[in-house]
Amino acid sequence: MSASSSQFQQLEKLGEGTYATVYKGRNRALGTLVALKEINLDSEEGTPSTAIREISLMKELKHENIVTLYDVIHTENKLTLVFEYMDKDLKRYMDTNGYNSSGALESHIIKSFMFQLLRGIMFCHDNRVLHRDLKPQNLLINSKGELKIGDFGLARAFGIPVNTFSNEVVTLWYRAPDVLLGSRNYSTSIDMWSAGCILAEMFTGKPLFPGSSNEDQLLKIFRIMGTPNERTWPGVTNYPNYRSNFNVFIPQDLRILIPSIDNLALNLLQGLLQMRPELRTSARQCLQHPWFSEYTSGAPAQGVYDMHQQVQMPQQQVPGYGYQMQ
Amino acid sequence: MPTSPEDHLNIAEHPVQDLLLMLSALLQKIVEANDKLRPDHYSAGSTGRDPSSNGFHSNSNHHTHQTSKQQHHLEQSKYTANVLAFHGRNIPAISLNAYLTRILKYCPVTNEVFLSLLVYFDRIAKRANNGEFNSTFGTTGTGASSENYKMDDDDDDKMADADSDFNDYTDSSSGNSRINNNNNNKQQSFVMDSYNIHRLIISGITVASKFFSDVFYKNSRYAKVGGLPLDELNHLELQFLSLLDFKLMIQVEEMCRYGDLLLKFWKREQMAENGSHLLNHQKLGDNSDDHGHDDGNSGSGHN
Repeated sequence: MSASSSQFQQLEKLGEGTYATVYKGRNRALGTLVALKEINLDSEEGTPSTAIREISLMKELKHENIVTLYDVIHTENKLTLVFEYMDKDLKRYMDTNGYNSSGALESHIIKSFMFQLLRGIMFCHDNRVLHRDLKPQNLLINSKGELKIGDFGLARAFGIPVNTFSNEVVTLWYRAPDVLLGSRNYSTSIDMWSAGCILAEMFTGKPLFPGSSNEDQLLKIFRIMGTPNERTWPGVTNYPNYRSNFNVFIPQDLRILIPSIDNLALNLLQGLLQMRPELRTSARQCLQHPWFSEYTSGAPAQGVYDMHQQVQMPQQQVPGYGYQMQ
Repeated sequence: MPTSPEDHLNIAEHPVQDLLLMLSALLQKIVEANDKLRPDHYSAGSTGRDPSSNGFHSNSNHHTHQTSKQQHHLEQSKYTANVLAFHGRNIPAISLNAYLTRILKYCPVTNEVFLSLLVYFDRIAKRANNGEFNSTFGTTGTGASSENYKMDDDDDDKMADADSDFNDYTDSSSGNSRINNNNNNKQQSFVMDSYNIHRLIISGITVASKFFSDVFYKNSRYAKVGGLPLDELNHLELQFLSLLDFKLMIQVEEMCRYGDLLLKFWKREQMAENGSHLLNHQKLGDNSDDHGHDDGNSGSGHN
């Protein structure tokens, strides 16, 4: 036990992840609550890359819609990350606060959460960080109704034009079709697809595309968004996982699937759920959407769908030299 | 700033092996300069693994209630322990270029991971050698500037002007004396030399690979490739992270600047080398001219 970790009284367990256990904690001196994320250091692996990324990225990303990392305490076999305390994640919030225990939230709450989520995403992207694991479980809500993005274990910096990108990122249900098709040079649009899935889920209380495998996930998306072809998505047949014998579906009307959605929110959702990554709305564009006009005082309702601004893609991709050693 | 394309290192496309050549030449130059300036180093005999370095507290201003003086003293001694962990008892026999090439062969990574070593070493040097963390070891740095970079300062703008420091490395003609002049009366706690450079490199590669790349290996592999025990690498990895205060982000512009500086260093080195080759050649030429009348027998020293 190092001197510094004794500053905190460890309270009940809040959750257990793949590489960490999170406890509620209390700062003994100040009495304030914190979240203590304990990471056990495996000898073979060393410090997990998830911890390295989470710490170094969250040290740089200070924003009201991103969970604050206060401190890092380390000993030879354990790393403890001290985060600001948040009451629950969005998944649990929907379970407990959704109406008629359906999990669905009211429109004005959805709008507030979505606005905050987009602001957090925009801050990440402006700082050239991709989160790559946006989902309700990683969005944290406090008693003031504030939403903050957490868990940057899969996040990475982008912009340096070398590098291999893994396509084993983002929890399956929130993974973009281009990534499912095997893209390794995705960029910020990967997070925008996840944001769209989350928006739909807040309206219905259920995940929009609950796939069970890579293949099933693609089919669940195609069933609703339509199976892409060279005409609707030029170049789609070149993706590694593209198959010419995909079942052919025609696009469904999202309004039927999400009856409670209003027209403006639907319009925003359609921008986020663009199959082609380069057509997906950016966080900055989303924040100017008329659905949010009550937050963006006096902002013009026009020019929202300015698609001229192309998503920045990494320019050069070094072909696979590698694989993860077992 | 020069803008012609040959002054810029193309991080995406430059051959990695060639970058390693430049990188090892630069690092070799730095450690040689530091070795020379401190012939008596490590007489104190410390070789890291100081048990007091086990606990540390990064960026601890949020929750600690020690006075800043105590705090400072604590940070200082921990910092010194962190640095000392990298010192070996002996100089590894493998050359830096061979070492880096070995890493590239068995743990392949791309240019920006190698280039990030320079950025990280420079950051560590700045944090260590800002005058606040004087230690009883070492007399010279890697070219730390006199600017006041504070330990707990979150303002990364302070990192922005690395050029001047880096130029200390790249200025082969005056580098040594400048380092000497700058730091004559100042003891430095982070000094890259032949005793620690290999451990700094393998630790830096381990950390940078996990941060930058989706393809990385277990520490057991990095340890094997780096030629050190696994638990030592695990320890050094944490020391490296804490020396950097876990700040691994490198903006593209900063990365490119270091790439350009490395290229500039390399060109200057080659120019110097060519110059001396030319001189040698001329001398030889003069000689052969002197003996030019020997006709067919010239150049054969068999008799």
